[in-house]
Parts: sequence; C-alpha cells; structure tokens
Amino acid sequence: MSHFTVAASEETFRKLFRKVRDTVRASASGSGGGGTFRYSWEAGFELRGGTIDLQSSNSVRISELDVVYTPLKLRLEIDIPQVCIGGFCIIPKPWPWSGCLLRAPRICIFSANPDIVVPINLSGLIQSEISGAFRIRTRYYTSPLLSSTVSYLDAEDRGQPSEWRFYLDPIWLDIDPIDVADTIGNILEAVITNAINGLLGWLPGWARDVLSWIFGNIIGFIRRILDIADDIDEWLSNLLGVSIGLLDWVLTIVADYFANRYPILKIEDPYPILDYDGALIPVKVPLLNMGVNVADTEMVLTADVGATL
Amino acid sequence: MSMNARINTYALQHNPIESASIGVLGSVAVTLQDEGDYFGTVYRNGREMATFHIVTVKNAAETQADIDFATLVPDGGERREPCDHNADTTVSGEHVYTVITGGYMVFYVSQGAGNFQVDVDYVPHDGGERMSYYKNGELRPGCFFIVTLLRPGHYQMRDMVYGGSGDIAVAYPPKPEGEYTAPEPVQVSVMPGEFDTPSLQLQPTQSIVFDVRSDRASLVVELLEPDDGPGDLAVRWTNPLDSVE
Repeated sequence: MSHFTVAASEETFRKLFRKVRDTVRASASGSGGGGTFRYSWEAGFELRGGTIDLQSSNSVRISELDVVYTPLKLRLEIDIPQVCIGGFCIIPKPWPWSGCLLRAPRICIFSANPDIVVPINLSGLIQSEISGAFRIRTRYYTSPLLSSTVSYLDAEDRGQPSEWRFYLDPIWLDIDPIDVADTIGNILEAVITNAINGLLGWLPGWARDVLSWIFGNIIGFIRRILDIADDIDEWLSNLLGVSIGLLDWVLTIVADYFANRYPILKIEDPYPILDYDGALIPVKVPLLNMGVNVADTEMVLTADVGATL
Repeated sequence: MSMNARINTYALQHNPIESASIGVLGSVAVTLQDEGDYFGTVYRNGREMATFHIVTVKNAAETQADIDFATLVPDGGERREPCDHNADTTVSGEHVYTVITGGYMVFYVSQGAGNFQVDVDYVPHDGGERMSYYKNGELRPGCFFIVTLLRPGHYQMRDMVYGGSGDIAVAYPPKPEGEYTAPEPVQVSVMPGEFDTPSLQLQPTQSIVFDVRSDRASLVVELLEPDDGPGDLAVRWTNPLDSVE
C-alpha cells in the first residue's frame, strides 16, 4: 500500500486544466503559392472553453475546446498575366530552315507583377474546435541546479526544486475543419471585385470590354487563378486548412504544449512537511514510485515515502 | 488593397496610326537589301532624339533589328526596359545592331506617346558614297506597315502617296466565353492607288500587315467613328396617369 495518496476531484481537475489551457499561445507566419497566385499569412491562436470528462479507462476526455485565431491575416497576391499584341511571324524562313525571318514587335498593353494585392484580416472571425483523449503521464524533473555542491535545499531556496510533473499526454486529437461563414466568403468576393474595379474601372467601357474579352470574363479569370470552383467559403477553408496547414500547425502546438511544456500538476520532491523554523531546516520527505490513476470522478496520485533524501 | 497593374494607355488612344509617325499601334519593317552600314536618326517634331547604327553582313545570326524608340530615346517611353535584343552599345552610347544582309530593321514604340520619325542613310561596304535609304516615312517595295487596332469602330485606311483608300470595321468584343485566342493577322497588299482588300472586318486586337508593292507609299489608318458598345441601359419610369386621357 502506498504511503502517500492525493485525490483531485473532477472540478479540481477542471481548474488545473484551465490554468494550462490559458498558457497555450502561439504565432507563426509563412507564405506559399507561386506563379499567378501567391499568399502570405500571419496567424496566432489561443484556447478557450473546453469540457473535461474524467474517464474510467484511466484517461481524460476533452471536448469543445475552442481555438480562437488572433491574429489571422492573409495577403493574397494575384498576378494577372500580361496582355500583349503582335509578336506573330510575318515572313517564315524558307525551307529547309525553321523559324521566322521577320516577326512583328510585341507590345504589352497590360502588365506588372503582382497586379492585385488583397489583405484580409480574419482575426477573431474564424474558430475551430478541438476534442481529444489524454492519458496522464508522470515525469520526474531534476532541478538543473543540483550538483555536488548544491543541495536540494539550496535548489528549493533558489526557486528550482526537483519535481514530479504530470502532463496531459494526447492519445488522439481531432480538430474540426475551419468553418468559414458565408458572410466572410461574401466579404472576400466583394474585396476581389472591388480590386478588379479599381484596376480597370477608370478605363472607358470599350477598353474594359476588350480586356474582359481577352481575359474571358475577368472575375471568372480571377476565380480560375485562385482555383475557386463554386464556393468561395469552401475555397478559403481549404486555403487555411490544407494549403497553409493551419489545422496541423494548431494540433502540433496543442499536443506539444500539453504533453511536454506545461504540466497540469507539479509536486515538489522532496515534499515539504514542515517549513524553516528558525535555525531548523525544513522537514521534507522524498517521494518514490509516483503513480496516477484516473477514475470517473477523480484523479488519484499515489507515492511511497523514501527512506533517505 | 493595392493595385500594381500598368496599362499602356497610349495603346488605347493612338489615332491616327501613321507609317510616317511611329507609335505603339503602328510599326514599320524596312528591308536591308545590301551589305553595308545603315545610320539612323530618330526625330520627334523635327528635333533629333537619338541615333542608331545597323551593320549588315552575310553571316549574321539575327534576321531583324528590333529598334524600340521608347528605349532608344531618353524619356521616350513611360518606362524603359532593354528591348533591343540584338543591340550593342558603343562608348558614345550609340546603339549598334548587326543583322544579316537581306534582313529587316523594325521600328516600333513599346511605351509612351510615340510620334517618332526616322531617317536612315546607307554607306556600302565597298566604299561607295553615303546615300539616303529611308526618309520621311516613305515606304518602298518590301516594306511592311504593321497596325493593331484595339478600339471597336469604323476606320479608314489611306495611302497618302497615290490616294488609295479602304474601310476597316473593328467589331465590338463579344461577351467573354472560353479562352481568348489572338485573332490571326490579315495581310493587305498596297498597290499604286488601291489596296488589294479594300474592306476589312476585324476583331479588336487583330493586326493588319500592309505589304507595300507600289514604288512608294505612306499609310494612315484613322478611326472615323468609334463603336463604344451598347452602354448602360437606362430605366425610365413613366407616370401611368399621364397616359390616361
């Protein structure tokens, strides 16, 4: 039988979880695409909410954990290919040569790169939801201060005692696809349409119609460049989730934070029983064979008391 | 949101298009018949703007010298980029091109207002005297005048030397459907006093290659009546009570 037993109720566990959850924050940036469409992004997220359910299978189930993206900024760069006239062959080289003896000069009437840059700020407008199952993993943390000349008491006095640490180690994690509301899709479509109007709107109608004819309907042309089939909301979800890999990045960070960075509980070792009392040093007991067990209603920690420090 | 596009507005405004005054929509190709040195001078409104030098030799790789006046002339275009692919620049800054004998010099303007005139003198390699080769934009047999029309409407083509003329109709662009394919250029032979095809039906962006067969020609293509399309439909409300007697 263990010498030392501590039980944390489900409510206590929730409080411990919230404390860890609120420390999870990350940010990153990147860019991608190529050719006629490039994008760059800047993203950060924090976690909110989450329902905790201790399971009899010695695991913890977390659901409805909201990922709030802030910031989430996209910059779309759309390069409309240049439109040039001429360049055709007037006199081909006579047989047996190939090529052109005289070629018309090529004049570009529409050029530049990129033509349209559209920044989109989606901060706070998009959320995802994480759910997962975790086991509690116990790890021993040895104070880096300990040495032949620094005792456990000195390490504790300097605020870096050795500890037993308990981490939420993910068994599995799911994240829902990013749900882009129709309104956001409409905003993006309007921004792109405005960009086109800004680009060509000052031209006389006939010139716009000539360019539109060359592009094969310029809005349709932009949609083809961006590879937007029918649904711009779905396209944006795909860009964020698959091309940028936002969901994978979030899951990797969340798993790493819970499993390695922030323990849900720390117990100092040796465990203090009595504090300093004048000239008397504190009374501490070493903890061995630390174990953890999760049941429906509580998390129970057990340990033995060692014979020597 | 920012937009970066550069639209060659001169291409939308160029009218009339003249062989004697080079601009963005009209370029001229002149054959270089004999071996020797060709010395060109570019003018705008009678003022000398730049010079160039073409050397023709039998074994040159290039068959044409593309001479972009927007590049050649300082501040000649809105933006200057190196377009003279087969040109070297001498210490004095003169552009020198080497072209095969029997090749062409092609005068064009990639950007800007254009309105350039060019004279070319010829000095044979065998020590002959310097003589005028191309002057006042007067085209000779073997020359080509290449015109591309963008704006829909009714145009007239004229030969200012012998007085031949013809009509050109550029259709309004249809509603965009499918992928755009540049329309094939049409070739028109210029005879003394007439064009072999006196009436042309073109699409916007379609080019005309005038092939000069008469001893002299000076060509002009002018927009007489633009077709600016159907315009926006206005909707008018009329008071139904007014129609009641």
